[in-house]
Amino acid sequence: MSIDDITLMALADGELDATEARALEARIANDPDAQARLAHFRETRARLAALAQDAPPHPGDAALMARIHVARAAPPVPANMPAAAAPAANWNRAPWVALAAGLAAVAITIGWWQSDGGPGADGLQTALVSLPAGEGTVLEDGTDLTVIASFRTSEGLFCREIEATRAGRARLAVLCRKNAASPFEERFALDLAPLEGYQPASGELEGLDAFLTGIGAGAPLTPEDEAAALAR
Amino acid sequence: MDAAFGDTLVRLLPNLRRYALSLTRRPDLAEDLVQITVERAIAHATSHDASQRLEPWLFRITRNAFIDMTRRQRTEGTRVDITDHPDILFTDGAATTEARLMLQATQAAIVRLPVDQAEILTLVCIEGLSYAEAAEVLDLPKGTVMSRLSRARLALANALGIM
Repeated sequence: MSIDDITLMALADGELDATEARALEARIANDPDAQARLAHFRETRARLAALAQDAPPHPGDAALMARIHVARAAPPVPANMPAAAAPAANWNRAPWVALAAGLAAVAITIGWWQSDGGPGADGLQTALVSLPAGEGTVLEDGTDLTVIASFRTSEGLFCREIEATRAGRARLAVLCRKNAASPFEERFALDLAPLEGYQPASGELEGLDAFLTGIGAGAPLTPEDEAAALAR
Repeated sequence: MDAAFGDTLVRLLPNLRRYALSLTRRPDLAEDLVQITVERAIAHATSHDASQRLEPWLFRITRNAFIDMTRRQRTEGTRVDITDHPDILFTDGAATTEARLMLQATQAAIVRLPVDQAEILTLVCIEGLSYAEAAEVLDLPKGTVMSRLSRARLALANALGIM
């Protein structure tokens, strides 16, 4: 019985295992018709494979490579968030963005932390002057706080971007101080509420980005620069 | 997105463009498809199983984007065929060696085949996907992939005068 094209093609394409391939080659050794058909499949494969090497540089490559480069340096962001336009302080926000995926902003409110020296305030200030970016703590009032990044503004303020969760609520805030003698004061905050399902948070984070741009936020400080700023 | 994912994505840009071109037969639409593929790949990088090759995963994204695109374009008038756009065939002014003439002849023959044949030739013989991987990209049984590929190979052999 003659051997079908598909079997010969599978041999030409290396889709048969070694035993099958040897058996088939032995079978067609004295079958000129099968040999000729096998040759067609090998020839078409070779002609097409030659095209794989033939990819001249394309003018569209530069923009795409830049896009991939930006995404590689950044945390995973919602697809509709233009990462290239985001200010530098965005880079360290990975834990926050992961959290934001399941949350939506309900309001911008001030006053989560008591600035009147209440029980939450000392713990907050202590955390802000001691924790490096990426580390977190639980304050006395149960607030789970994580420092996202530190940066300086164009006016020389030292700022810390934090995320905090308490009793099922979440908040992103930026607190800044003029010098080591001053306490950190909240300059920006977003309250978020849990939402069912996936909810891109680009709109809210764009609000933050606008704020960061407005105060002239610089790139996130390196761990060394941050440690030096905290030590003052 | 980890660095290896990004590197592979950059390396595969020409492959994505070639596959997109086999689907759209128009350089502008192919470029749109590549862009959409890159954006979706970045957005869903974490859903890629790192133990699997990236190629089939990316081609699948490209293909789904193409399907979305053709659904939208139904009302956008006639598409221009590649045969009206000879610039698609890489005529880069390089020395016209025999090898280059052969590449051009192969490319010209592919674009004259039906799209489903050109597509499967691209995936398996140019991009080097296994039959199983191609079946995954095309959402077809492996047997269907093999019979379609076999027909496409014979049609190409005919067009190239090698049988």
